[in-house]
Amino acid sequence: MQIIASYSIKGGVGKTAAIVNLAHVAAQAGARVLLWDIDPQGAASFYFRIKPRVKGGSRQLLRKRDPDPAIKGSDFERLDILPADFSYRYFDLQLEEAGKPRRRIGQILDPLADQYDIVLLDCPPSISLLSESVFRAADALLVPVIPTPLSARTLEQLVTFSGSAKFGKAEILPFFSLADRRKKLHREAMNELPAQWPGLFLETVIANSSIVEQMGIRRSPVSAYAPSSPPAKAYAALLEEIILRLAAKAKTSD
Amino acid sequence: MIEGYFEIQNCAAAEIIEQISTALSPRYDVEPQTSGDAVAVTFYDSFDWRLFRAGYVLQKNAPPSGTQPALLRLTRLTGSKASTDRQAELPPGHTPGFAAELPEGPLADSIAPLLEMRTLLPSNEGHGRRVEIAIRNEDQKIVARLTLTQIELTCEEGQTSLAQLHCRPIRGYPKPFRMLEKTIRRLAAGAASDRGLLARGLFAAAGREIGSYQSKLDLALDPKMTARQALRHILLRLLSQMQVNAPGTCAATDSEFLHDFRIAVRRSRSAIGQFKAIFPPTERQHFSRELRWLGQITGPTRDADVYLLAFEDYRAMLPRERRDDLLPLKRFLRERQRREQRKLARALSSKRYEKFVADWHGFLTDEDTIWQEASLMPIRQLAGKRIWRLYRDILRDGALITAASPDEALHDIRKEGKKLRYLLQFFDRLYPQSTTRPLAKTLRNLQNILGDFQDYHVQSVALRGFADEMAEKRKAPSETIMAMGLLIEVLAGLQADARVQFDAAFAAFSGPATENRFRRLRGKKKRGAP
Repeated sequence: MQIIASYSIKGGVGKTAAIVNLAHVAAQAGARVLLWDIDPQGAASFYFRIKPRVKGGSRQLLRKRDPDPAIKGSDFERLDILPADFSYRYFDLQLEEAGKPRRRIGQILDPLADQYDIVLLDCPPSISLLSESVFRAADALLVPVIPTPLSARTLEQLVTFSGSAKFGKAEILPFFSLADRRKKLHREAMNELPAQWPGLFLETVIANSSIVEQMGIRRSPVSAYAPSSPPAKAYAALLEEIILRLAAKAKTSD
Repeated sequence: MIEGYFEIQNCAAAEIIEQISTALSPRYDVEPQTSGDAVAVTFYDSFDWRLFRAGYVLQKNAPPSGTQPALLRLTRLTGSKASTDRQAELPPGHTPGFAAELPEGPLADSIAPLLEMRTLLPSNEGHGRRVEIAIRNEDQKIVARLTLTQIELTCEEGQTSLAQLHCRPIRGYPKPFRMLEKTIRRLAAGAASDRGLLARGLFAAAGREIGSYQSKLDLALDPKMTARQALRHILLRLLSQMQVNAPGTCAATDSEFLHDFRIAVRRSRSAIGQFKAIFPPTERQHFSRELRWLGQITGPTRDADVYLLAFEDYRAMLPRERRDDLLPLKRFLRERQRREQRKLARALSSKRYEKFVADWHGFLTDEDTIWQEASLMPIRQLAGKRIWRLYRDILRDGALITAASPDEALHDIRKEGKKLRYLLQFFDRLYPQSTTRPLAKTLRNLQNILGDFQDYHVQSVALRGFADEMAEKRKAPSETIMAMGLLIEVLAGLQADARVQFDAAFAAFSGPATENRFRRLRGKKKRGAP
């Protein structure tokens, strides 16, 4: 079971769109996929038409360590959702209460190892105990980056943090999101940032697209309503790249 | 929550959807997602109707494109519990055949013990329409799924339609599924669902009589028949069994065609041998020779079949770490089987075989040929005499068996037993079942032990021969030859076990209860009775 989290310190960067579409693309390709919408805003749940409600909330998940009863089937084969819940906004507090907070997210997911090939996490945009616990559990951290100088700063913060002992084993995988090649600023950033961190950025670029924006109206992944559109193909390419990077990493750590 | 299968007869798909929609509203919307894709429906069974005899019907619903998987569905005809039905997906391009080739799962698990070594063959075809239906909640989220397949069938009452429903829950949404299932259950009960219809319809449409072939003889003989009438009846039936099985034997559809073909040949030879005195001698010699020839040309293929069928058992007889050493033997047997099969197919397409069938049929149906005088005797009298005679022979020979007797002595008893068993099968209907059933059972027990004894012996001899041949032709590494040596030892042990069991089985066969039953067949009084 591979755990991949989409993470960004700042919001509105296409984080949820990426994880929702990756989940659908992976399930279409035959993987058994669980998406955990761990962001209390519940955007990912919304896209799948699932009510953001988990009986007993985060407290119950932490206590029982059995997410099974809360899981809902999506409209797509092999793709299940662990929905968001409003109680997730107190996740930090409850992690603290439970003790050993950085291990908890991994412990909640452990019992699902036989059921799923890939678990995708949609994290709230912040640096918190919750995100640290996600870093610890994840194999990869997918980081959407809008090609601007400000994004470079937040990425730098994350890369610095990943060097600390608390961070865990997750591979940081930034990619350009909401990119607009018509903007000079974007074009420059897309040249400069990969040069600044050689080998770090994924090559697939998710362009700013009205087809992706329709997700909110359609309440469905792009590849379900526009399977041959450029964004759908881009998400498929992104997934492929992530899997290759994880495989390469597994090889070098052997 | 488990998936549910239901059937509704003579109710249009649109009406079913309408009724479900009414029952689920306003909480849930019922939304057909397709307008009704055509599906080709094919029904499958073995040549001898094994699934149908066990109360099952297997159907394949295939989308016309051929690029999507087809659906296999096993319906239980008896009992109303639809939950015993099984379903599985068949990958595109696959056709149901042997049980081992079916997709793994509950469907294959149900079929395998019924089908054994037989293959599935199409028994009828039909057509239908399939609609995928989504049940949605107020967020337009799918909370349950339903597949409705409407099949057109022809049966005795004329054209009829059968709706097959398959409802599936979505994880985390138990309530709408329960509601859906309850609704369909009510509809199915209201529409006089008749699962037997499926069977009647599919067989009537195929123009085939239900269960038209079985290897069991079940001959309708009359005690008043003359020996000639009875033997003609028996031999014609056996000839038709040869003819029915010949195409499948030539094509090697499955190993049972050849097996049943050979049994018909052997039974024919035995019938002629037991009633030598009634046939005209020249014809008898000629046809006996031809039947012997048929036995000879089919033997080597059957032998290879037997070893291939037993192959997994052989593997299981070896220690786990040696089992794979035996695999070259399987390749060797396969090659041999194919070679012999080709020869056999040539022989059965020869002029000689064609002539035999025509002549034998002509002889058996010809009224003018003069048979010997004994052929005019009542069959019951003659049959009783033959059965009694064979029984006495077995008693005599069996009593002489000691621990020091050679293997051949037991083989001879088995041969006599086989002849006796055939006679009991031919003439079963001439006698009360209360007498023939227990006799058949004691004899079967004895024959099984003798059969094991001889089979293990024959198999170890054959395996030794194979090992020599494989070593000589360098077809196997030494590990394989060693594994085969190990196997031969195991078989020798099993043969010794069978020998030990012979005494008890023979004692049961030679007891007074059995004797009195044989006396009854002969029309003799009970021993010791006045």
